[in-house]
Amino acid sequence: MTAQTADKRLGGATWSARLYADGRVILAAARIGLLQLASHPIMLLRAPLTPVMWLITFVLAYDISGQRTVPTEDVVGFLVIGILAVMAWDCTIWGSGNALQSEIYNGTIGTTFAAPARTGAVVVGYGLGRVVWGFTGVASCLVVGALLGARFDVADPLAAVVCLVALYASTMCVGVGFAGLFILSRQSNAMSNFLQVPTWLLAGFFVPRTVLPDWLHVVSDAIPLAHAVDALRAVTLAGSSLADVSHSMLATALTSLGFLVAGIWSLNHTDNALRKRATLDLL
Amino acid sequence: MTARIVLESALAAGRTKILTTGPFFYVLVWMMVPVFNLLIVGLVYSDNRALLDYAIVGSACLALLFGMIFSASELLDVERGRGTLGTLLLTPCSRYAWLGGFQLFAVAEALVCALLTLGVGVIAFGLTLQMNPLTLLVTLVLFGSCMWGFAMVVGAIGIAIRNANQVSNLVFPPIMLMAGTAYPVAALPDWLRVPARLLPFGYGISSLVEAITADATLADVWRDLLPLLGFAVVLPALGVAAFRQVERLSRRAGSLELT
Repeated sequence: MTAQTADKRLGGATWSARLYADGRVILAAARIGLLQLASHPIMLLRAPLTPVMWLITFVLAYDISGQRTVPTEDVVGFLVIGILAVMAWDCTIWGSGNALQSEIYNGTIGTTFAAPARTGAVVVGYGLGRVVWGFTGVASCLVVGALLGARFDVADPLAAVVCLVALYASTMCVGVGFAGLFILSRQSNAMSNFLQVPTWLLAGFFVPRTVLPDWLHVVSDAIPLAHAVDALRAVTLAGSSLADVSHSMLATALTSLGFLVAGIWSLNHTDNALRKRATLDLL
Repeated sequence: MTARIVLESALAAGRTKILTTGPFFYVLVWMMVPVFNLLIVGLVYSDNRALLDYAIVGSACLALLFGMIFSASELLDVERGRGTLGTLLLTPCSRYAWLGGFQLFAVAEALVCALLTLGVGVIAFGLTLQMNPLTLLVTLVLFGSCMWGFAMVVGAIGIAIRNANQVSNLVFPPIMLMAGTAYPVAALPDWLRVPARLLPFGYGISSLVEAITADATLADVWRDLLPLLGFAVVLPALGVAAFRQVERLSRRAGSLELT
């Protein structure tokens, strides 16, 4: 959506009014996303159980191979943070990335595009719904991690909170970045399924990024979550301060911005193409 | 005639699946997940040759399990979702013929993916193959029989609750945990080893690892093959019973689509 189009759609509303409208759309989309998830009883089971299963699987793998630190950090703590990142990544690909696909599935995509609200707000809303949905998983993961002997070293609790927020904020930016791409690919579900596991590897969720071959670092460095996870691990497992992780935080911000800009462009492109052709067929 | 139905069903299932997703995304989704999983586990074990070799074959087995759970067990529910299950149930041929055809494609797909994973293991991590073909064949037959039965049971539950994919996603992580794809079941702590021994996967994977990497004879792996044989008899029987139960549900609901 160009600024001019936005002005027309919002009737020349002020920025504060637009932000308020976006906020309401985000909350409404988050609520819809949550209700859709809650309508599947199995999802209620999966939310806390799946992260715990992954955590135990990888804790056992490291334990059986005799590794107690990765590379210098406590294995269980390293993996707990990795699982939190997995859940954040799930919010991106299954929440934000699939937001418009979900609207198509529900038969409401036409209304979504015709409504005087920004499509990006819908995308962020779905992602936010996934984040809230994941709280039980985060809690169960932390509890089981503690039971398995995770050792944390947090010198600056505020820094830990900032890094956690950065992790989820970068998730949202990637989600917006992917939303348009997913929908234009016409294979949103396949994209989500494919992107899941490679990112676990490239962003260092289960193995440190230092073990990746050099040529893969270029790809790895382009993923905002990779830097956010590095920062969160440093702050929660090695007692680092915000100043210590400023380099990772800056990288998180810059790469997130890249995805955000790409997302706004692709959503505008989709929106304009739909209006120009007066059809939803390109979806 | 039945063989032709099986073959035609397999081809139709494959064509539909590949064309629906598109060849590019089909390869990305169905062939790459186990490969990337291998790369992660391989990096975890990079300093332990024995565990690395185990995990490479285990990852190939994971490809088989992945296919069994996310492809074979979801066949009926996918047809229900498309609205074609009723037509299939009314087709004037044995239900096991077209279902067998669909499953044949799922098996072929899983085997290709397993071979690809094994190939990546050989190239990326230098796995040395020392195969015993007879042990490999016997284990694959028994393991395949177990997985077929298990897929039928999971598939029946999936269709009964009208969302097979949810069931697949629910059962996959615990199976990953206990099947022994990433580590030998024997190395698990007691609280996990006992339930893991109640499943067929650990026996099958252990025997496959020995058959592929240690040239193990049938005599070498009989301790794994014996329980696997038991599962290979019981699970298919349970699978057929589960499928019949689905048919009974269909009659009770008065709808061939179970909706």
